[in-house]
Amino acid sequence: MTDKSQDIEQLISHLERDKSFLSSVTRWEKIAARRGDYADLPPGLHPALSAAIKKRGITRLYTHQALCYQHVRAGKNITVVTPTASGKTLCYNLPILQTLLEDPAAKALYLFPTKALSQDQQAELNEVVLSQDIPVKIYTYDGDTPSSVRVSARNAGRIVISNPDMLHAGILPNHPKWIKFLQNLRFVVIDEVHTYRGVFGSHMTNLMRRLKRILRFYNSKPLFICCSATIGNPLELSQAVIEEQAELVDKNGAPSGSKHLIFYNPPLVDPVQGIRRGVVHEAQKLAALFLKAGIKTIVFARSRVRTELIASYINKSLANVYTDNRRIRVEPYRGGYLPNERRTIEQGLRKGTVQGVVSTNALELGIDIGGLDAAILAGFPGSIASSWQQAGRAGRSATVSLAVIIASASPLNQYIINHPEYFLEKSPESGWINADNMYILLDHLKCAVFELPFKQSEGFPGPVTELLDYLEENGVVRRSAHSYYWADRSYPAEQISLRSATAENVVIINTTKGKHEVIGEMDRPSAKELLFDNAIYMHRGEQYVVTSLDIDNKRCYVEETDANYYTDSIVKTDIKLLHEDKRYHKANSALVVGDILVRTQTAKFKKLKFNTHENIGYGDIHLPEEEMHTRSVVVLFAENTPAGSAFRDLADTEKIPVIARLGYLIKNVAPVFLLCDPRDIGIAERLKDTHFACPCFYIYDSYPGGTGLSEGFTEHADSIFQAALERIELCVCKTGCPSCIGAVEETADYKIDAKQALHTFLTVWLKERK
Amino acid sequence: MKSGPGLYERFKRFTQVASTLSGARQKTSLPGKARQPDKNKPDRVDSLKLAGWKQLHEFVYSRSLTLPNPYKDLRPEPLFFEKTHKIRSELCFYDTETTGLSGGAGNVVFLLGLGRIKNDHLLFEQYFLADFPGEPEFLSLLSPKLRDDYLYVSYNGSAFDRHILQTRYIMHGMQKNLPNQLDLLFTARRLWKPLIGHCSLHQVEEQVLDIIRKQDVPGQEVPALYFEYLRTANPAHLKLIFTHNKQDILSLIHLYYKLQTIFEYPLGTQDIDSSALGRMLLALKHPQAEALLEKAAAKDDPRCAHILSMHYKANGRWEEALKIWQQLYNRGKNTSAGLELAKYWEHKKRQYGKALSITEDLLANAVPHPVQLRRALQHRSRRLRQKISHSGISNGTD
Repeated sequence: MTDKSQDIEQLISHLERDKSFLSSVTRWEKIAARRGDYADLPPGLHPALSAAIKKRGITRLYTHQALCYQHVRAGKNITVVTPTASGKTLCYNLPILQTLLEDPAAKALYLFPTKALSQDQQAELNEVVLSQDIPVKIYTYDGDTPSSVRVSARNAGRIVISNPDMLHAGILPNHPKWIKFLQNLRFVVIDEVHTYRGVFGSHMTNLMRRLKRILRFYNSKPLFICCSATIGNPLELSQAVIEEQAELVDKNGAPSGSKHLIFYNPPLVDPVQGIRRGVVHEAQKLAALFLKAGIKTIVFARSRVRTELIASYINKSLANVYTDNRRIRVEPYRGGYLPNERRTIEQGLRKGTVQGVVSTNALELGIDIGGLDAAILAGFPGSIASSWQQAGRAGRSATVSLAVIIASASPLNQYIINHPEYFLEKSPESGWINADNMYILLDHLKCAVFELPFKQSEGFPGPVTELLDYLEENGVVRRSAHSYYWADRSYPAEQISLRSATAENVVIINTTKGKHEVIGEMDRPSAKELLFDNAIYMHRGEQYVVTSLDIDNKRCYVEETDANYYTDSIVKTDIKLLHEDKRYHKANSALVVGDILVRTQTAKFKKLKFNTHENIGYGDIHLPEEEMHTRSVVVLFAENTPAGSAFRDLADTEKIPVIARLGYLIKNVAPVFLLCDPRDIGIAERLKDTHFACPCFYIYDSYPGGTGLSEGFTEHADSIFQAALERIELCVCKTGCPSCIGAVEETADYKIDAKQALHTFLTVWLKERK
Repeated sequence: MKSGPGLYERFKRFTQVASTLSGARQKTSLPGKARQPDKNKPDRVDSLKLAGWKQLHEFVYSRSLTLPNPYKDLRPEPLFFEKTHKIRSELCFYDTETTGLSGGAGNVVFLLGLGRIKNDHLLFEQYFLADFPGEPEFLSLLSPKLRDDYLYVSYNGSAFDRHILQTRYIMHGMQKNLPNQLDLLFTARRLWKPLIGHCSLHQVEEQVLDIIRKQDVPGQEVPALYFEYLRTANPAHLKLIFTHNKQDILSLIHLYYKLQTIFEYPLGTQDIDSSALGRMLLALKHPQAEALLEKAAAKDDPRCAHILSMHYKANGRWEEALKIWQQLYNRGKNTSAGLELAKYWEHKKRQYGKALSITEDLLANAVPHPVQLRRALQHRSRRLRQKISHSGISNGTD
């Protein structure tokens, strides 16, 4: 422990003296260590329980744990906000085990967003329960549970640990088999509740509506215990998920070590074009430096491809230095790996056989990977909340830790790195749910009718009977004697995925040298963009080339390759306005909110060389298009608005570049205000829109039916355009770069100064009001 | 949370577009083209006019048929049932038809067929649920038909029909303990799966019982026919279902009789997996079990030979077992026979050298063993070497 402290303190003082490193640092924030606040073990705690926790070295509680205990024992729902290493599980395990010991019939359901977290929890609970022979049977019930164990889980499980997907497709549709459990269900724990925002959260709310509906049928009304990482509105979000009141517990009593938080903007290599050193290389360089200093390091990358790239770069750079004598192992970790691969890596990290890991946000959640000393964020993760979580992955209660946020060239990253105060002072984002997204609601209504015939709306909001009538017209529901019955031979939950717009996953099969081995899977829309024929697919550092993608049969065949490039697809989008719902006059322009149909097609792909990322060729993709109904806001440069006249005043040659570049800029700036990821937003520009008969651009929600982003955009339109203008003004480049309006390629069709033109346009457009 | 058009209105909008656009493939989760809602449709189906059926309740119908008993010597105590069942007064063959093909709370039983043999007759009954609201009455009326003192014979009933029925009772808050089952699927699978595959009732009918159904609906089409009847109130579709269900029960009786014959005269049976039958006969302590296995072993069936040898071993008939192992091992380096030989020489005869040479022989086998087996062999080899060296020392000092 002290060795580690010395290692890291040495590294920090080394960095503090490194001039070239410091020249790229825009802020170095030192967060002081904190002492813990403690409370006595609650009076009346069952002796076996207090003996069990004492055995683990716990003789008193943190104040927030004690408060949770009081609230739950008083019969109140709670939402507890828990930073990393604050003893979260005791917040719910203590009051629940106490009740389960008092009442031998009582049961509890724990829901974790991932299987890995469930397994962690099972291991932890077992430790408590087995150490004192506490007679509480605990079962994990997920897709991996063998059918023999499933029966005992249903009949004998006092605590059943599961995930939303299993509740949705396994437990609720078969609720009569769970009658004993559901009749006596006293607690529902929803851990990592902050992950249930956006689409996933909307599904979760509807899932809870279904659960509560079934529980009413069995006359039980459990308490809900929600645990959240630090977000802007933990209480509001969890209340939106459970649709009940809850008490907020957010005064953390756990101690924490001091932390250094460094904002790092990679140095400019070409000030004219505004090109900075790439985030991948900078991350690799810092990670290698840390690892060689003996610091256990986690790198968070923004995409699956980058995870693989960074890990392989780090391993290569280390292989040059240390050959066989001191092996430092770095593993990539991301979704799409098979469960046992993931478990192996997690275990390696805990046991210390793996010193470094490069991960997508998959490791952001509380999977137990032991203590890490440093976190490197290769690119701003898109939200302040997940930045804190990722940074929080380094550091345990007693030691100094280090987190470095490396900015990428994107406008969003450049905005944050130049405004560290925005990051440090603003409270983290709030999570929002649009539980009444009609696709999501309708899907869950189908499941709910399957589970129990409907007599009235029964806890579902809005025009439930109308939606049920719609389902009847389509022959999956039958209305008879004023009730609605499921009338289809299918099992609806099977076709509905809580995680993505489609339940259809493409299975990736390695067929190298006659093998036939499943190496991963991917949802269908992503597969169309990443697994097209001849695409390069990377998996645990291995490269594969796609030999054929069979969308109909959901299979993708790949073979190992050692090509020196990777691939990136080019997506074409076609938009049709279905209905205009509302028109606003805001931000010196006209904004229209309505429903649209988006048709996307991946038609071409680029081949990009490793390391230099230069474009070395194109290829064609032949795949059917994807269709999506969603919600959009359209920014109109109508004649009678300042935006319209500012646009009209542009030279004709400037119009196309200005509107195209504006799209890029907005897509990348808006997420700061909409609390979403740039990937959640689609953009399409029209020089002359056939419907509106004027120049405009569409900003739309990338999820079918919409999740409220369009409405959010209209609220924040002024600030978003203002921030876009500011981004151009603050950017050091001359003619445009990825950090503001997008890179201007040598081959661009137009020979005008797009950055200047866009700056002028925005200035004129936005000036009027001020 | 935001003002805007109503959910339903937007929904209509999307679906209209979906149906006007290009007859495109349905890619969203929305079901196909919306039909015109029939606002005049009555809330329930008018009383059914079904010849030979009587209405027990608004939505519940039943009929009884007395058919000739096809098998006078059909015996109520199943010879082939491994579990010892309390002798029950009667056998009852049954099958359900349901609205879905997998389980779950939304899968409803709408038809139950029951067949009982009474002397010269086969008493056949069907109970039919004509619409969902009648389910509580349907289940109440079925309850006395599912008796504790009958043995219920089914095809896949213990995995499917029984659970679906149990679920239905729970869904209506009713207490009902379903009686135990005799599920012929298990027995059929063991005997015929290697020969005919999956062993659906249909396959067994065609390939074992020589029954060819005429004008039958496949089982998976039954839900669609029932829904079609619910929508149109046209009972024509129902006749197909009723006949299908009746045929299922007749086939069950044929199958039961076939199994009875096989277990009565196993040596006269052909086209069957002898090793599976032999194993079952041994478990039942059937007097002809050994004879059957010996016959098959003589016809060069190593699995039967192995089963027989293990049976001899379990009964301490070492000489007979040893003969089979040696035969099997000498002929084709049979791994399990080799392993048994190694155990025999080591533990029974304490001839470690012999045991070791076979173990080493197995380890040298060109075909790689599964890891666990390889480890077990290595462990055995080490242990044998130790024993040999120990006994060598003690021999020397003596």
